Amino acid sequence: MKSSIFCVFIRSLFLECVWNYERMQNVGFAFSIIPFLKRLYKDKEKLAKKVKLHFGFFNTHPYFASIILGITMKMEEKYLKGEVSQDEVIRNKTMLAGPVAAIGDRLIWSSWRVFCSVLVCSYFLLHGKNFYNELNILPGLIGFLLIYNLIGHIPIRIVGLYLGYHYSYQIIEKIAKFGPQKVVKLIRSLGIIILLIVSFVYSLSLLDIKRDVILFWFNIFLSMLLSRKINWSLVVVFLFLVNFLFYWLVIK
Amino acid sequence: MFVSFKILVSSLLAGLIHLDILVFGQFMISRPIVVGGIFGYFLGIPQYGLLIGVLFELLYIIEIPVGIKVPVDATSSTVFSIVGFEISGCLILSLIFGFFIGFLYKYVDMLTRSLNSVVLSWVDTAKNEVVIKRINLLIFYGIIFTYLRTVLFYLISFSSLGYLLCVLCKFLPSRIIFDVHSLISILPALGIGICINHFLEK
Repeated sequence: MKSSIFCVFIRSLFLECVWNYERMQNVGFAFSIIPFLKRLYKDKEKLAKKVKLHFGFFNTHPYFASIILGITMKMEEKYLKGEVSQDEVIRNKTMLAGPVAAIGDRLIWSSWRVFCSVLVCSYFLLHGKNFYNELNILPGLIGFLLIYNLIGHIPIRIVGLYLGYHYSYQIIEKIAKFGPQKVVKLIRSLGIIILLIVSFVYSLSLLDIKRDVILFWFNIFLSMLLSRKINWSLVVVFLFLVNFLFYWLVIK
Repeated sequence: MFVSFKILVSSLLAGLIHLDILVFGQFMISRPIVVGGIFGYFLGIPQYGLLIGVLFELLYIIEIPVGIKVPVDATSSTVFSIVGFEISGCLILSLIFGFFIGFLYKYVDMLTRSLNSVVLSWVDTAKNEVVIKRINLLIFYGIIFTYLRTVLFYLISFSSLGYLLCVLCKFLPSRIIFDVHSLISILPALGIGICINHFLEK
């Protein structure tokens, strides 16, 4: 049993391997659940039919997909016992994908990943404007990968799979009670504090040319303001051009 | 000859790193800061690798793959900037070219995602005895196809846009190329501002 769950975990790392616009993560999902279905169905005909059923549309957050995999595994066991219908298994899988993706996108992509990026950039920027000349960069990079993966990524995948299997779809209720929104708020508040501290320390290192300090804070303020109204890439292009023209004129 | 070798090995290495984005794991090895470190060491310019990595990490910090959105590719931006800097010696132009390469790669990625839809019928029409085998082969196809497409993308972009970058560098006044370090030290402010605004959003 444990070995088949471990196999599902390893295979779930390929969830988005053949991501497509028609059925999105369907190939990865079917590929992931095969070891578990093999344990349930010894008859190859039945197994193949079952795998084909899981080849339909599926799209969610790749880390949190493990929860849905766990739930689907539990439901498949219940189906064998005659407690649920085949339709319910597939319907639950598809219906849970949306809410779980919403949690994952907000908690991981737009908070945890961004926060870890802020941490590693801060580690380097705290050394001032010549940060890239002075440092041994390996501790920063390894620290980033370890913090991101060992605190956020891997535990979510493994624990999600086990909890999904043991609690079935009640796990969604438990996650909602746990309050991911509070975690998101905490991460974001911490992120802002770190960014302000880093900006202050970094701007001190620009003090030898006072114009640069003013320009640095002016750019932070302007990019904050503009990115509320327009896409970040346009903000970057616009401010880059403004700064470039300014320096060109100054150099001239 | 040595430059061609560097371009070839960089493309092969970048292909491997790109697998982290979608194909296997998403361990964030493909983030600009990590890619910057790896390519910096590989090309013997660790400082510039780190500098470009930090800049792109901050600039692309809020570009996230929510739902079915295909994000602008930060990895290709970083790789192209570092290799572009190594072959041209011009940091500013390498950063500009790199920034736009990310958008180009995004469209390549979208195209291949559309192509992936076509191969699904291979499993749909399969007889029951070969379904599992074909799904396993599809995963294998995903890995190989993504790797080869990325390597090809880099080989083409290094040899065409890299060449253009070198030519443009010759025409730019040397002061613009070498005396803009003040500008580089200001650039993290853009990413910091965008990120603070992102964290402030509800």
